[in-house]
Amino acid sequence: MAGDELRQRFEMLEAEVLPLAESPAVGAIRRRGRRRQRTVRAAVLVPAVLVGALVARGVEDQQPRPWVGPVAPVPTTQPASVPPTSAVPPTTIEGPPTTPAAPSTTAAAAARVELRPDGLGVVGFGTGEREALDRLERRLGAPDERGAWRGATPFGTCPGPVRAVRWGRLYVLFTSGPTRYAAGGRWHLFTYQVDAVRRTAIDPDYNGPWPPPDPPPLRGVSPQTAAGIGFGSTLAELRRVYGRHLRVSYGEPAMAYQFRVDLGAAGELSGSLSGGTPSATITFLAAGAPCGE
Amino acid sequence: MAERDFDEFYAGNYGRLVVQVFAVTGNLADAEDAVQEAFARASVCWGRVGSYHSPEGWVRRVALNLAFTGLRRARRLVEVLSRAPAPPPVPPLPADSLALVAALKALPLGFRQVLALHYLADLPVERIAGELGIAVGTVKSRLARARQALARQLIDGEEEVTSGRR
Repeated sequence: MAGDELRQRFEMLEAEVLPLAESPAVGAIRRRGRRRQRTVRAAVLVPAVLVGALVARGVEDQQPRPWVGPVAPVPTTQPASVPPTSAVPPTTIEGPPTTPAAPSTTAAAAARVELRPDGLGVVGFGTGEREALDRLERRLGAPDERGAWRGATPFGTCPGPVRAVRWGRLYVLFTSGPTRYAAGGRWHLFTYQVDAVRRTAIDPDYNGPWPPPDPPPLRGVSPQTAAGIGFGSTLAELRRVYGRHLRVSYGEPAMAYQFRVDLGAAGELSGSLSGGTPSATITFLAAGAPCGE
Repeated sequence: MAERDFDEFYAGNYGRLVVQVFAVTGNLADAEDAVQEAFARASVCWGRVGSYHSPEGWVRRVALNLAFTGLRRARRLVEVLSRAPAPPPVPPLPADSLALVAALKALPLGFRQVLALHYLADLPVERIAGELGIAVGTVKSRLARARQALARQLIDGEEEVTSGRR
């Protein structure tokens, strides 16, 4: 194919796409620019204040660990999910094959890993990282993955640097940034999410053909609420359990069916659904102070 | 005066830049988002950007960076998160143009960039080298290989259509 012919085809493409590219009013572009400028200024100011606060308190003892990838193979067989009722003993939870920590039989072990608006049952939001990990590893065994990020993360924009630990479908996130649960400078649990895919497999710098390959789906540990709601539960089940506390909407920011369970002072659960029909299922569930886009 | 300059610059370049970024990304919505954001950024620092030798090149470069990092990553994450159907990847276009877009999408990013800058932005190889931050020789060889690869893709696509019609 000659160069002239290619040029003609590009010229045709330009002529056909130009009418489709409707330009917003220049005023709207200017406003968008000013909005962004304000956001950038705030983004610069807030970390500066945080750094000042950190210096005043003494620097945190640990720096975020670099990404270390999977630390144990994901079990090929589905471990028993954390049961929805507290009557089931926690020893039914199975960890990966290399799990070093045996389930505790102490009184502390009687508490369950449970999706709650204020945490995970055995640990509440605001719990220090080490303590939270100790308790969770006692219940769930060694995690499948650990990672650490500053700035943009696979989870969106978070309140500060983030460390994430994953067991099966459960991502548990810690930050040293300020949240409603703790002041900045102390690594603490601030959110969890039960996810469909291995979010950490998404390459933020991907630059190849579009679309990129889908991240692998997650299996394994998949806790539920006390009422048995978790990944894969249906919208009908959500309605039956939470009734008037449940709100379902469609639209921004995910352009998908989303739900929110407002439990008043206890907090809220939120997530995404595969659709808007009663048989639609939960594809994502989170609580705490989730990271935003 | 500066405001009027920006308005004219925006009105005169928006459409062409969308087409150029579209040729690289293959997605019109992404291209429009990226170009609008790039113009928004230019508007707040127009005093500086407007004095550049090629403000258009600055906006194009910002738009391409955005299209391949921030905006696309955010959209991809949202799609993954929600499993919502993605917006149509290409607008309704005649078959020849759709074939060209599909062929471009099958090429590596570096090829798409040089083709868009050469055929749509009408830039000489020296300017392409400057915008992409690569050597002039690299631009020439990449352009030659990109042309060959694009022609091959277009011919393969036409053969597929022909054999499908039989």
